[in-house]
Amino acid sequence: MKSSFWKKFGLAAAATLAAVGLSACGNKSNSSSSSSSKTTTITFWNGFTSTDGDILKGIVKDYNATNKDHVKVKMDIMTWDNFNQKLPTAITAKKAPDFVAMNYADMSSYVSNGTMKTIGDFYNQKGVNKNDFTTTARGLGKIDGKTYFVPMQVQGMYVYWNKDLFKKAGLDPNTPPATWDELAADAEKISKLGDNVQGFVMPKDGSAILYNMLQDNGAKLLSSNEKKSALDSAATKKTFDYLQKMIYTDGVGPKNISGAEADNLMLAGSVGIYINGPWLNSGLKKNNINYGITTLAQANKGDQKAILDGVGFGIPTSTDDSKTKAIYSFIKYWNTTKNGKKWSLENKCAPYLKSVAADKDIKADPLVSTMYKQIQYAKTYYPGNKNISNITTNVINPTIEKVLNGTNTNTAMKSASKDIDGVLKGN
Amino acid sequence: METLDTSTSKKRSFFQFWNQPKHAAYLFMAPSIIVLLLFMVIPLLGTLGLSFFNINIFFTNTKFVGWDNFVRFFSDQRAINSMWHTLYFTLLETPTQVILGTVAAAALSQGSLFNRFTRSVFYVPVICSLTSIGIIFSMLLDPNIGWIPYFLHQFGMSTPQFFRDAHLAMPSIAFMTVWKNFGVTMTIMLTAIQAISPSLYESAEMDGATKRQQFFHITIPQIIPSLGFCVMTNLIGSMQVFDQIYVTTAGGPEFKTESAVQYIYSRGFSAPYELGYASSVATILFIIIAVLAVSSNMYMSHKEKQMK
Repeated sequence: MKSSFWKKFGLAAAATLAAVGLSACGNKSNSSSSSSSKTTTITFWNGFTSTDGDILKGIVKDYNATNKDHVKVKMDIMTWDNFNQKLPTAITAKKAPDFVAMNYADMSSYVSNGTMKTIGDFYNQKGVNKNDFTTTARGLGKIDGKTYFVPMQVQGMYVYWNKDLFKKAGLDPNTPPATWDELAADAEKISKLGDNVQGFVMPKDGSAILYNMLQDNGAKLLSSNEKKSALDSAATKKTFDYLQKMIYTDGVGPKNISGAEADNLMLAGSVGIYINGPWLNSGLKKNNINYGITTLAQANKGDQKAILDGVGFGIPTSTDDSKTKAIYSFIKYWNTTKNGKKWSLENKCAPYLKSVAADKDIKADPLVSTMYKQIQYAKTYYPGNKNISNITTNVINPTIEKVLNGTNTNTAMKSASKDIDGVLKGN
Repeated sequence: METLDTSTSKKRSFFQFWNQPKHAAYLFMAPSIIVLLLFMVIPLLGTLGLSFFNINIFFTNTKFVGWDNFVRFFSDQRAINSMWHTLYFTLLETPTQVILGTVAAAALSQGSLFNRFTRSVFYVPVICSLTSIGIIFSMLLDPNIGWIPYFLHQFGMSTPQFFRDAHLAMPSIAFMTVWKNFGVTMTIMLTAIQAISPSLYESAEMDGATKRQQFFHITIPQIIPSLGFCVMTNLIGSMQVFDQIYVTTAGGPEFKTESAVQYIYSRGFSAPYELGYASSVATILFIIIAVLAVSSNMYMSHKEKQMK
């Protein structure tokens, strides 16, 4: 009798478990699209995980509290790595956020796969002053003549230098290197201080630094029609030789170090010279590092060459058209002089709105004005090319690693050039 | 009235049918079968299907390419290297873990307080996440901020680069994995050793067998089934190594620690998002693992028969 009861109980439990399992698999979580009939909730993904994320949260909070368009922005901040891993699958699964902020280098692969909407009509919205945006900043979001992204931030690579280490090495703490030769000479002196002090750090994934160096030395990554590699050149070899001599031969900095590890060394005050974007400022300030920031070193004194990069707002094709107005409302709010100034000053970013650049507080800020100086002459690097992201990850970064580890620079260059051709052919 | 009788009798026959052990067994297995189908069989068949397509993660520009993706694998040096790296990791990790686990189990099989405490200590890393352990080891072995390189340097050694050195990176990852997981092997072996009849050891001792002889001639033959199980599960796990590499070296330096799963992941889930090609590499890895698992299982069964 007892045994029969437990058998029946077991049968019922097993059946229930199976039913629950099946129903759980079929359960579709309903993403919030609106919290009330009047308020439109829009979801927003980005990768501002550092102190910049706190400033961004503040602006989003202000917008949610003050906007009269009845829009609520629900933001999800993740690392850029996570962002780039989650977004493609989310788009395919129709679970993508309503809008995103994304790095320009990554945009073209999304656009070429038809997963991003054209949003050129944003500039025609009431209250948007198209002429307040610099032409280069607007151009960053254009692919094949169509606007897919609206600027959120523009950036470049700048030279950071640790003034205390300059002083210790007998260098003038107020004179940063202006040329690549000066940078190498200063770095070598600093590296001799010992005690784990690094003269210069070149991360193994430092493609952004390498692209600037290549461009500055007159080397090209792709042919003019962007269908073949143009890396195999004397200018590329010169750049590779320069890096190899500094890191592998002279040992002024560590080999096989990632960008994140290099950032940590700089933040710990043990790097003399480092090249990075504006996001390093907040950490350096927080750690009380006595540092300076200047425009990118050049091959020849007086040259003005640099790459313009940035982050832009975009809308995945999965987003319902009914939300476009709400998204534009937030992008418009972001691109007001007040918020542009706040983002530039607090996050130490160069402005891209003319009204922000003309502001007296911006002009008075030595870091922001230095960065703005570079942004004015910086140019985009193969804008809209869908292969750049792939070439960077699978060819350029591994090549940097090889060069820094002592592989013959000619061999590394030729092999990279061949690999780029492979990527361009779709292999 | 008649209808009610029919309904009751139908209900009764339904319960009677499922109450029979041979039918009830299916109901008990149903939850597991459903989970296996949903999360193993269907994805496996899906992966196999995708292998024959040129398809990206956005499911756009899809084209049937037949065996092209498999042919491409054999000319893709990075993919082939990733297989060799996986095999290298497996050869470092699996024997070390099984040997260490078995020796530790034999040494700690007696139930003294010290042994029980040591067993618990050895098991602690098992309950920690591999990602957390990877981050901790990255810090411990970092040549700039790590304690271990610092102490080695204090003893006059040149600062080892561990995860940044092409020759040391994979052994360092294997060591970390063994340290984390050998508690599992030890526990399985311990159960097997404790199940051996003490009379076997008593007889051997009376015959003058040394402890070493007892270990090789009594303990090992008696635990062959458990040993086989550990070898096979470790082998499969090692061939799928991913987390620890992703966290510590991300496949570097110069792809020297890039495992097959890491390569599949980078092909499928980062630019150029080649889901079709990544699936074909995954299928090849699946076949390799299946062949290795079946052969090791056959070998162990053969050994087991020989011992009987």
